[in-house]
Amino acid sequence: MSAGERRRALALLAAAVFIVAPAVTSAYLTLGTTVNGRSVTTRWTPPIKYFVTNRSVDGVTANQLQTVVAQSFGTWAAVPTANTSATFTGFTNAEPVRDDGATVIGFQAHPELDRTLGVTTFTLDRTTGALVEADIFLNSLFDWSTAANGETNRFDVQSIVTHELGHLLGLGHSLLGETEIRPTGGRRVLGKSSVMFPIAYAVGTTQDRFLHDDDKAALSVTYPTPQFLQNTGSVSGRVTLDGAGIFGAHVVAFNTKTQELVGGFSLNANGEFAIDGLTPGIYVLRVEPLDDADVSSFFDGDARVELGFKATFHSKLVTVPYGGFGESVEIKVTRK
Amino acid sequence: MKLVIAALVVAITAAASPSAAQTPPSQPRVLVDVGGTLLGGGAVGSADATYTTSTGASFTLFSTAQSWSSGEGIIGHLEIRVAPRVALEISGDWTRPEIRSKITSDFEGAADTTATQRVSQFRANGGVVVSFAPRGRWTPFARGAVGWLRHLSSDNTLYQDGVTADLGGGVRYAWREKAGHVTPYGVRADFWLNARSGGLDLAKQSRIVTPGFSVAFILKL
Repeated sequence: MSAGERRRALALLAAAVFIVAPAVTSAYLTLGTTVNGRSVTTRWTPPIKYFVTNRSVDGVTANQLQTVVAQSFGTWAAVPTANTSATFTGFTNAEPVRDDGATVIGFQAHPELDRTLGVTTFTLDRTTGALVEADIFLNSLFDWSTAANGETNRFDVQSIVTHELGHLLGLGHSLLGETEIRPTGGRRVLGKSSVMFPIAYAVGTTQDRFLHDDDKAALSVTYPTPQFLQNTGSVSGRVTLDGAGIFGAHVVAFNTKTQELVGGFSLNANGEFAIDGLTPGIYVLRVEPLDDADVSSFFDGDARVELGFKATFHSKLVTVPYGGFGESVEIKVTRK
Repeated sequence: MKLVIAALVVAITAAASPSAAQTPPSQPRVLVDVGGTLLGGGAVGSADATYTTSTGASFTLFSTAQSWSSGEGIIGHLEIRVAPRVALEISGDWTRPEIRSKITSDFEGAADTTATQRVSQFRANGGVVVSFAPRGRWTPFARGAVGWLRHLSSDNTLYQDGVTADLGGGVRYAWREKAGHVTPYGVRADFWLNARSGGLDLAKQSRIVTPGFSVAFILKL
């Protein structure tokens, strides 16, 4: 593979999720690209070998950053139903956003991104879609901390790195969260149930260090262990409005016993969705429009996401069997 | 439900028959009965779908409360007498209760909904029946049994097993015998309390105690 065959395919995180898949195999948003009309998922062959920049910022040394990055990789690698691992290769003076074939994580100043804490970029092989490298930068425009319990007025490095590593592993954003508009602009998180929700908690919080069921399911679907495929199941169906399928409806599956909460999207014009990696059992299904974050955080600009419908519960309890799909359901929503 | 009602009507009719109170019943060694049953339902727990706030507290997206409806179906018993008033019993029943989740208090105002699914419940029990002194053609008895249950989802893609126990009693009413054939022998009515645990788990605590009722036609083999 020559350097000329490479190109930077994804400039911003979650900018190119699959929306062109001819068949809905999973409603989790995963990163990928299209090669010769074929969808290729962004996926590593473990272990991921990475560097950390040999540069300190106010409040965080390079060693502290490396320790936190290792802890965050460890958080993802600890998911028992997924096969992922990573190896720290060493410190580097290279910049984290540079097409050099090395995966680099570090701080970088981006004053033009005054609402962006971190970014993950990928370099893909244009001819095969294979992953060549991925870089993560944390925006040193903000104040950062690696304190065990967080630090007032500073963002928690481990929380944001854990989110960005989710992207690095190939995961897109999750919509399992509720927000409200700030008077000063932007959104404030009221609550969320996924590290991969696109909006961070406020400064001083360390809650995003911990994965939720939704994160674990998405990771496990991407890097499944054999046991995971046997011991979990899926729910599938359509979301319809006035009899027609709708794209981009957020479907949430809730297990009333385990209180597992996992979300996905309808990912084609027929409104079809499939949520994998669920504990077998009985589930409540809820559908809502994508109204707690920017649509562009989830889908590219060409996507026609339907937003004009009411949050709705499906009238049937649905079954998730072991290792397969239960009965396909149709969830009918009504206009706002 | 029709089975239960039909059996009940027959039972009442038979009990009201003046000719039925003439001859004391014999005590057959093996009895088989088949009839209708109604097994009660009840609440099994509640659960909130929650997010986590920046402080680690819970933020409720919506609330749910889970329950089982009563379910009607068919039941059968096989009794083998091992002592004058003691019999060992094997029984099985199949009912069709509904599982329900009442969903309320959605943060985004989704309408309250009761989501349901009708499932199949199979039970197989082993137990002991102790009969008391007959009064005419009526024989009261007490019964205890334990066993296994299986729930099967409506789309037949998921089954989960559990345990079940009955404690109750009832009465048999013996009809006249017609020798030489497998003949209707009488009717049997049972009331019991059932405790069951496991099966399709709708909540962290899946144990439920409900009343049960059945009426069955007795065949003497």
